[in-house]
Amino acid sequence: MVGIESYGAALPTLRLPATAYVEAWGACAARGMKQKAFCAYDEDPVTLGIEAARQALGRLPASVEIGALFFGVTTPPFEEKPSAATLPTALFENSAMRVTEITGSPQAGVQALVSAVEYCMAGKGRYALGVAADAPSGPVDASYEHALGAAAVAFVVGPDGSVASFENSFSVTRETFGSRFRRHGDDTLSDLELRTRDNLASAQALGAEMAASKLGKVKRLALGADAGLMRGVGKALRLPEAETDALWSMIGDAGSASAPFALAAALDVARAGEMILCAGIGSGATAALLAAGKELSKRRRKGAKVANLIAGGKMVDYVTYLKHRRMLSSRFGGNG
Amino acid sequence: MTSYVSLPMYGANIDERMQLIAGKCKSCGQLAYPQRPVCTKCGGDQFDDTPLSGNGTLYTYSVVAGNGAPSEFDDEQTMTGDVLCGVVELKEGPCVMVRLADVDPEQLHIGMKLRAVIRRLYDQEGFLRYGTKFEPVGS
Repeated sequence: MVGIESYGAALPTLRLPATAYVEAWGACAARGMKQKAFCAYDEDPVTLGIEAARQALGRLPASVEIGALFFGVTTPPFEEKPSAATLPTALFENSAMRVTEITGSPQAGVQALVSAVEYCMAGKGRYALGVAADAPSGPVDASYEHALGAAAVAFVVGPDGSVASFENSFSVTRETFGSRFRRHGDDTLSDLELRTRDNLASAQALGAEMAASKLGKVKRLALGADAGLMRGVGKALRLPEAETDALWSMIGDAGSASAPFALAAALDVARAGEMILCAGIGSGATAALLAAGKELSKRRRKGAKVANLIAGGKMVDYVTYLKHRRMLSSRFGGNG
Repeated sequence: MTSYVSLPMYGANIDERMQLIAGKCKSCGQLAYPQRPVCTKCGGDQFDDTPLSGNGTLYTYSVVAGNGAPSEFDDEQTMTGDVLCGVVELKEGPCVMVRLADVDPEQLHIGMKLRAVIRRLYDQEGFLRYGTKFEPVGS
């Protein structure tokens, strides 16, 4: 059955503690966040995505021919000139592959995974790479900037699904107004902070959509969502018994990489047969339902686990953070 | 790998730079990285592309302090401090001049194990250049 054959995750090395915002601004608006991971000066979603993909490819028992690469990212460095093209250039000698960039919402990472699955379902023996990487940025004086972090994860998808078989996918789309948007040409996110709880409404819509299907017993929810959404998301998705992740408190809001990164964390600890729902939520929601496979425990022995990535890193102060994010640079001011 | 590369040159050998592909002399087997038109050992001019592992050790290093780095690194040096360069002796033999990443100057020591990573090299002429840097293993 088509599904995940291998996976790999990557975090930047640098970390900022939430207390840095308390010292600088009097409070940290990201309630419940302890620290976040963020890109160094020479990192971005492309470099993180390449690192995650190398980890995923390195976990395969034998090399496979990747026919397509789907890159989910809301902060690509180029608006035109595919940023995703840098990934196969760094990863493969063969350039004969379909490369697709998916962007525009925090759903993009899960959409990349689902697209990779659908590509493999469309032809016998196909392999694809689904990569989610993100480093959203906000204005330095905006409270919603406090939560913005970075992460990446990559999934090799193929015909056997030996790590996790793909069971189903679900999508809902909602037009949203004023929460988390970026106009053409803007470098940083905007949020009118209307407190409309759009993400919870998206989760409720997704829950209603899923209720029409027989899901089986979902053991884990991989969302990577903030503490506020996590409090009500189990009920909203009509899966109150499922275990949720707490990654947001340690890496921050990694945009479209948040949910796939949480899926990697779930795969690090899941037992064969466990059902995992990975949902990217924002302006609607996209979810992938997966069942942990028999090869999972063997395949994950090699390479870094998410818990180890989170435990590592180097803590820095707020000014160092601002410099690495180019927020103090007159040449690249606020570009992140 | 350490300083300015024109965009045509960057485009011409980007695969070689990103994937660390050496040239293996068809006459004597000597590896050349970066690739060269003529083998420095036997003078042969026929090579096979040979991917390198990206693992190596620090052969020597230099800390470029006080805004002494070339202009393409101006902003980076202003924002992040010293620019660290080194020569890495790759597992397969070639020695390469590289930028070092995710390491402080006081942590550098000759013989430390390094691995290749893709990073932004610099942003000049309105275009981003990606390439290979080396970071300590386990960082």
